[in-house]
Amino acid sequence: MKKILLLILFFCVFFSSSPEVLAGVGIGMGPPKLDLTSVIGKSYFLNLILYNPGDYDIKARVTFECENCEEKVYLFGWYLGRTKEDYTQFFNFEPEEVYVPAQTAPENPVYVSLKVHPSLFVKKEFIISTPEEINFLVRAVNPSYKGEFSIPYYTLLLNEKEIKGGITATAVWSSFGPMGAAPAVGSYLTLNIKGMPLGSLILIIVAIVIIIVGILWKFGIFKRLRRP
Amino acid sequence: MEMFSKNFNEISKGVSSAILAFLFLIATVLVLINIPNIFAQYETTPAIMNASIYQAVGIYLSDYLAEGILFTNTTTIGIQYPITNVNAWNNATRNYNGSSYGTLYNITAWSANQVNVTICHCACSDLTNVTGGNTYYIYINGSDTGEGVGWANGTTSNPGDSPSDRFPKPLEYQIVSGNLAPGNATYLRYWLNPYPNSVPSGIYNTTYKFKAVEIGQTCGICSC
Repeated sequence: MKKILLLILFFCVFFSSSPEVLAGVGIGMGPPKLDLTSVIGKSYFLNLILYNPGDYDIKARVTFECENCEEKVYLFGWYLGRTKEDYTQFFNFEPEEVYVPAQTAPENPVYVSLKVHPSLFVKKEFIISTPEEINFLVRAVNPSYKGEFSIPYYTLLLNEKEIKGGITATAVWSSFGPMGAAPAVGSYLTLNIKGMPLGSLILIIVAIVIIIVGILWKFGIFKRLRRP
Repeated sequence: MEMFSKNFNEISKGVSSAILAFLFLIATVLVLINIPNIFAQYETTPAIMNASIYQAVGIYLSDYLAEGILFTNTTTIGIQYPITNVNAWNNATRNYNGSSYGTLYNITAWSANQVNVTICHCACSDLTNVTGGNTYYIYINGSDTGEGVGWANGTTSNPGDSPSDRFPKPLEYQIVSGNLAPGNATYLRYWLNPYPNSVPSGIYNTTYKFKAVEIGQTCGICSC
């Protein structure tokens, strides 16, 4: 009788451990929203915190999908191309990929630094899309031509600039094994950068002009120009 | 001698008045510095006010969802067989593999979350097969025909027996759970009705992604 009871108990325990109770592959990140301000030339950093509520270790990659880093350019209503700027010249993540052990809770999180370092000079790219009639001819010379080319240029960061977009932390590897589906969590970033005021730029230009005129005056350039 | 003593007197007068002026200056500075203390005699030394803020969004996928969605035929449960009927909704292997024929695909919002979350999914590409140097696709979104990858969601392990939605096109996020409270789960089932029907035999695969954001935010741009 005892043996039968033990057997029943064993089967009860065996069947109660159904696969549904497994916690699985997880990821967590905080904070869910970031509103930051910065001034050109002022660098600082803050921490994004990564967690792992799952039962498996993961490697998490942190990326940013910029919403307003591209702008379409029109001339008298004609589409010319688009301008693009790389967000990494304003901020970046260090490190971009981190190891987060299973069951990483708020008491011992893993940190990723968001380093904000805006500068006065901003590098942009003007991307021009060429029509397919031209692409065909270009591909005869360069088969890898993708139908557009870019011209890099620099501008000054004047007045205020806002960068908006989603920060995503994705589990790119897990001790679970190969993953068919990757869990990810997102946070929304708004970064307001105060650049050089337009008035200051005008003042600098006026000052430079005055200095140049002064130097030219000192060396008597104007007098020489007046002479017949 | 008299001349010397006169000069000496003048010098000593000058020095003494300079010392006096210096002392007066120091006294004035000290008084000015101490004025706040005179009026705040009962102030204590500054104490520290400190807080550690914790905010997070977290999710975890069930093992069988992390493993991937493996499509089988219309009748088999738990094991993957090749799809032979390309004009029907074929099951994913774990659709009915749980207790009481429940699904084993679920996503849970972490119980430590401070906010409710929205969960979205996106596929990185259509189901793809490369054979003999050619690439063939089964579209995850057969929008014109209503075929492709279909899914249904619910709050229990029996979320429905037919697709209520289709997967969006690759790299487009779609909400699978709009408002998931901490500790709660969304259960999912998947089906595949292949489109186009004329694709060659072979293994077609892709990867996909689940993303959780704070409720009220958009899932943004899907990048794989």
